[in-house]
Amino acid sequence: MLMKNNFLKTTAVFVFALLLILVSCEKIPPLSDNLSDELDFTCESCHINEAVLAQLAPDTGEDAGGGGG
Amino acid sequence: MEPLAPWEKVYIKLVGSQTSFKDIDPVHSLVGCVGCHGGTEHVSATTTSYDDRLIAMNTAHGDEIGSLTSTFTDPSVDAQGKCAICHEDITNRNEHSTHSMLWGERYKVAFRYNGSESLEDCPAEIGEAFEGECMSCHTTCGQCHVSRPNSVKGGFINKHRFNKTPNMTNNCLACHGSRIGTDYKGELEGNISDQHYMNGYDCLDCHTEDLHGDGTELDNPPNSRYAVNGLPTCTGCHEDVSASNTYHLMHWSGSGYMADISCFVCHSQPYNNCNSCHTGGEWKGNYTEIATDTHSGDGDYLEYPEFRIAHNPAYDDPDGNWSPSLKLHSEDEWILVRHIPMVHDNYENWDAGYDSYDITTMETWQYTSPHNIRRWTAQTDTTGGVGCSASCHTDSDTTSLNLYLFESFVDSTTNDVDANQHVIVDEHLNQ
Repeated sequence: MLMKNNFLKTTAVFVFALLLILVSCEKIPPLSDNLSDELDFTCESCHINEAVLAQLAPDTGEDAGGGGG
Repeated sequence: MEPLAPWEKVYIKLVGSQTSFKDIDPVHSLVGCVGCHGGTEHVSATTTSYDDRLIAMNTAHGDEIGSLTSTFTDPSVDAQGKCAICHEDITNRNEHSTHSMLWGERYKVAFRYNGSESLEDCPAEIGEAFEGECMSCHTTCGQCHVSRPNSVKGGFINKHRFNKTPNMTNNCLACHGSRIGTDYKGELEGNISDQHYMNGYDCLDCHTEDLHGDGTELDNPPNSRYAVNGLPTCTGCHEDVSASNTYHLMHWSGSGYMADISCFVCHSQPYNNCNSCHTGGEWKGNYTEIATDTHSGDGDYLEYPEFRIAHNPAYDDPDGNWSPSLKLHSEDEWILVRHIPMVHDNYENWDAGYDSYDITTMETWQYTSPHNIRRWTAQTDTTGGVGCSASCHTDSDTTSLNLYLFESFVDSTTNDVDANQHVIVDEHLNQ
């Protein structure tokens, strides 16, 4: 009986941990591989778009440097 | 530290069901992007071409994009105008905190010039040079709570989320990396990581003092990093071990039984030291760090492991004219010292009448508290039944001589004996 209880507890903890991991996993949203046909932009429409930033950010000057420290 | 690509530094990555920044930080998103950064929220491109979109982007950003110190990139450069609107108390205190004012360095620069305790007593050029170059390392709210600091060229840490607690690796050690970070993580060859690091301790687990300052700093400047109110102490956690073994009984500071020894003397490993750093002139823009194998005070910049026990003159004379860090530890007769990168021409490039300061005004082997603590070190190793006194007592083993700051050692390595006579051990050891 004791073994059965331990088995059930262990299984419950394992399943709970698995669910926690699955829920926590980052679901990467689909990424447009190019700019859309949109002409109107807000700050966010660029800063949440990896493709747009990758295309435009190299032209932003000093901030293009790497880290040291 | 691994550098971020330019686009990564400003990328707000959405995950799961998130659709905008408001899902990442619902409170600060209420302010809106332009509420802090300025610029233009809505812009239109005339066509879908890359060039026209670039024009639209530049319109949104205005002329200020690119500079890490602009209020556009880091609105908290103007903390009083931005952050204080909601966080008034903490912003006001932080304005005069050690992180903002570099009180210890400020004191030393003034003291080295003419023995003064304030830059206000120095020529204006010295103050301007300090503000322009040294203060370029001070931090802002955003460099601790939003992005990596400017010393590593910025970049969001957590998708622009405002983090109440700074991240040890990306914030604290991005600035405090070459000594504290190297020591704490055991990165010097032959060392192992600090026991606290191994136990999962973050910087803020021990450093519970308010890093924004406590509001007393302007009227009572802490002239040393060790003068900051509320700093952690070993006994804050390990208060019950003063009599836990013979060595503690005999050497615990304040026991009055025998030599009072700083905890660090027994429980530290070799730590990073440095020689020969120079100001860059023109406010650091042209500063170039050059590492060589020259173990000399007059050579190029150099970092190297070392471990040296010194005699604290403030132990015998607490009111003497010693540097603040020595006086603050006057209960310890024996302390560890670390070489700081001072040479006679450190400030030559400032061209501010400071070309060759009197290096003897303050020791260059300075009090240190290495962040590489272990219970068992080369000093405390009792393997084979050997008492740990064998490691340090100079009458028992000549190898222990390598632990002390002897005049001959200083003369042959950093070549600045005159500056360190008061911490050199020769007259205080029974050899």
